[in-house]
Amino acid sequence: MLKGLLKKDFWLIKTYMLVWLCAVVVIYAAGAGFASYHDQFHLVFPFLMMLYMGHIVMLPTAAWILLKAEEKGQYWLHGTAGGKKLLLSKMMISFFVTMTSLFVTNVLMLISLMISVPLPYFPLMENGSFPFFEGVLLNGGITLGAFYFTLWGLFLWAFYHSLTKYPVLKKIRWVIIIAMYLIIQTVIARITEWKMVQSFFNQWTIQVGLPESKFETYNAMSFSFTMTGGEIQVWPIVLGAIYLLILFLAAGWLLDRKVEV
Amino acid sequence: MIELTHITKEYGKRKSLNDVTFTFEKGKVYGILGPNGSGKSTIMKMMAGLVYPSKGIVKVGEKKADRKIASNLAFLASEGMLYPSFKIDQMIDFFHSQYSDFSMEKAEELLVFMELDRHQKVSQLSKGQQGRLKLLLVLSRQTDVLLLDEPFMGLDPMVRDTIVKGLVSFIDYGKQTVIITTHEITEIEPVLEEAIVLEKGQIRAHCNVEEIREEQGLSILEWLKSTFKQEDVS
Repeated sequence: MLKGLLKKDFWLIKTYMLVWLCAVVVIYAAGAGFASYHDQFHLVFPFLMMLYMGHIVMLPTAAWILLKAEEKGQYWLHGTAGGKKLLLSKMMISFFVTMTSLFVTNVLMLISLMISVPLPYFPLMENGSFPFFEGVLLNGGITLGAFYFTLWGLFLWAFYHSLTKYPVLKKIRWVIIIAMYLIIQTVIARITEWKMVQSFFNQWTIQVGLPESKFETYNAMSFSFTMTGGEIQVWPIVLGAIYLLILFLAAGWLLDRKVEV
Repeated sequence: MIELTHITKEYGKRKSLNDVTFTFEKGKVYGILGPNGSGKSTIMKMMAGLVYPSKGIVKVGEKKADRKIASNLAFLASEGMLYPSFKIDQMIDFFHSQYSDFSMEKAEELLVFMELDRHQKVSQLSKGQQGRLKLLLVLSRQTDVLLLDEPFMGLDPMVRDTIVKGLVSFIDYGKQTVIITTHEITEIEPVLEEAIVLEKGQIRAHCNVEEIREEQGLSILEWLKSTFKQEDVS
């Protein structure tokens, strides 16, 4: 059943995905053209960073496209799969699309680094090792951010549609969901500022010995990328994951019990 | 058997259904007739588990109607249901993946009967072809209950005729309970065994089509006219 849902969701987004991947290449080509015109290839990096940052909104956008395809009549709710499975399929396909695009962007970044910074100046490559850790951090950070927005989006989308059956609230649904998001975020932000909470967070930390990576001045351009070791609090990550899981489960529950057609 | 027990559906102050109690017997073909806004679609969606009653209980067989009831019945919705970017065979493939009772053999038969090209995109289909595809998807399921919500909506008489012929040919009479909502009373009459008239969220009248035809010599339309004329006068 899930296989069928995944196939369906992939078919729904396939064209968008191809258009987006073409857009990635076109944006990169435009950046490369611009950089070559000015004879300074490093100017391609702002374009690449823009593409990387774009992935934070890509996952929620892909999920939104998939949900939008179901809105007319909401017939997808009439099926053998429950709300959680329906949403899981959307999440998995949106994730696949984002990862594919992120992979293409990573390849373009690697090519650009190799063109822009020849081997002698590219210490990580010179050492024979791939800048794996930095890549994981960048990709991981982007993916986590994207997940955060997507799961919030799913929850708010389900909540928004569950208000349809209340005619009095129908016209102010947007206001309600925006207010709800802001209130929850503010409360969480305030709570995490408490000393007691901070000391609880500090009880479980892990030392991360990040490799130091540095790109030195090259060709009249100067950019450096240095990362040093540090402590990472584990509790906020664990609680954050639980928080996102609760949002997902709540969205599934709303879809099953409260969203009506 | 589908049981509706004191069903009420409220949207704010408005009651879409008001204390409806009715039992749909197994193996019969029912027509729910009534003007727009009478609650026809709400009652169908409720039986399909897409709308929950504000009061009362809906039971399909022994199960309470909720989202999971989809595995026990097939529902043709008046809107949605098809993905415009899909080809016909992708729609069939998707339904096949979701319902264990979906018969590919029956779908193949219906493809020929409905004169549909499996390689055509849904967005390129006419309204009539889309209506036929919906019916194909629903009739390919071997369920005890078929709910058809406005299967003739926006279709020309030729297509309506094909759909009625499809129903006559592919419904398992005596085994499947079929409930159809429509305004097109004349077209659907040959298929119906029972007719229910819904108005303002309540059942106004109910008849056995055969009895009306044989005992009173009336068609459903004539029966409807005479019944409501008498009530208006009284």
